[in-house]
Amino acid sequence: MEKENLPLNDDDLIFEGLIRASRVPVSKDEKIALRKAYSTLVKLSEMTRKTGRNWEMGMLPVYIPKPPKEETK
Amino acid sequence: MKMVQNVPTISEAAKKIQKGNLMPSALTENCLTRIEAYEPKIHAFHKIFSDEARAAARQADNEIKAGGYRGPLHGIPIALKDVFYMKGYKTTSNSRVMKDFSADIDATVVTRLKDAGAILMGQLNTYEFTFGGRPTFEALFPPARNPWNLTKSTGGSSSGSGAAVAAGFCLGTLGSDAGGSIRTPAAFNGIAGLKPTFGRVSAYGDMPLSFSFDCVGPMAWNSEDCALMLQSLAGYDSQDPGSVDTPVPNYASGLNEGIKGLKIGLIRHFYTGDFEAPYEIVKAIDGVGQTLSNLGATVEEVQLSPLNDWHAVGRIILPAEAYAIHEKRLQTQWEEYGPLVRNRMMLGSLVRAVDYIQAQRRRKELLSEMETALSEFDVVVTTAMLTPTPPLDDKAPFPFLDVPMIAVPFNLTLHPCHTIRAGFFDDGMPIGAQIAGRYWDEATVLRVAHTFENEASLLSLRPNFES
Repeated sequence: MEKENLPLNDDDLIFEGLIRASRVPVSKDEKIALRKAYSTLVKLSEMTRKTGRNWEMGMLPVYIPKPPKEETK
Repeated sequence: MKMVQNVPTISEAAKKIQKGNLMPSALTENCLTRIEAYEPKIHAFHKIFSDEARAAARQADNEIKAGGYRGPLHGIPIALKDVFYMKGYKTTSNSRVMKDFSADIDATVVTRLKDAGAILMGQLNTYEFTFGGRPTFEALFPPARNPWNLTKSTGGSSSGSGAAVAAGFCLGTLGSDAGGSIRTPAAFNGIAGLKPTFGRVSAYGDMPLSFSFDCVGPMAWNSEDCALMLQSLAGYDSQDPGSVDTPVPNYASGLNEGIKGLKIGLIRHFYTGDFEAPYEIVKAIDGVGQTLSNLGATVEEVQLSPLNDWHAVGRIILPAEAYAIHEKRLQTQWEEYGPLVRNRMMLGSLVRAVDYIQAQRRRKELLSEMETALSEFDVVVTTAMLTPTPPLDDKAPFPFLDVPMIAVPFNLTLHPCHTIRAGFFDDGMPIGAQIAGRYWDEATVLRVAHTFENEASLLSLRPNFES
């Protein structure tokens, strides 16, 4: 894939940074497998960014405090 | 020797036990005999409670003789996925990381099964830390094998729960489901498995994988048995912050009311357009729709967002939450994790906060779609599997990234979703269908499933692994 066609975050430097930030030791072979998986993950993540979404669209889960039971009676 | 044919369903056994025609000790001994004979082939258990089960069964004998019959689970052999805390026992989740872990509490579902008089038979196999996808040979215990074909995967993560019921080692099991971990092994093993509405069954004392999705539910030979188990498991638990205080109906009473007049949506594009499933699956799931139509329901195709949209959201949220739960241990006990599960969890370290939030926003949109569909239809039906049952030793490290997860939509939306046997592949392996319903309406889901099972008569066939 040409560099200019890469999805926004499918970048070796970002991948290396995220792995390093995890502070989890990862072997060379495992890093190769994870790098491929990361490309897929980035594509999946882009699919969640729906074109035209209202910027006020909230997220789940939404925590809603429940009133004390005596107040609902 | 066809002993498996002598294993009754929960419903059949409960009626005999109540009338005094079957002693819990005899039923338990039958299951223990089968376990002793065939467990070396199946590997369904991490730990078998032989002595404890015999003692509990004798106690049940005496209670029932004395007029103290508690209900349909009294004296019924049930086993638990090795993720539910049991005071006095280790809970390993099939990981070396947890090999010496013992909780000092019983999970709420364990307490409820004990209160119902169930005979606890042992702790069942699971994929390591319940992170599904495929079994692993590098975990604490070897993988469970599918009684329908010992070289095939059981599905997971509730692998032992599916295999134990199919093998006739017990009459029901408990599973947990954050991405299909009840429904996939139910489908692969040809049994029934219910993921209830999120909050219906307490997850207190269930080793977590995903705080957004974790659900606990029953697995059994058929839907009637799942209804009987759910009756004992369901209900508010103040110890679980996700538990919801809402009435629990009688799940068994309406099972035989039929489905005439119900509106059923068939999510056909999940297995014919978004992913081209093998013809056996298409034929089986279309056949479920046709059977339900023949029984008087109105069945129409329903169009939702493509399956990959649902898959994408699940595949961002699930590893991110699993990684958050395991972050410290991954940093300090890396070598103790099996390579498969640690790398799957590491995917979560690659999800940025903004990716997670965007996924949760998309999840809300998709949930709204499903709610719209379920405002028109009483239940929706689709397949529980997209490919033939994979081999036990499938080596792909991240198969869930390539093949969309068919169970995930109902984890995202938190609706109750139930898997039933829908047919068979040409090689004899079972095919499962999913039936999902409105929030808190497990009763209608189970009624549709039970009606189909009675009409289709697919459950008379048992796996033949004993020779």
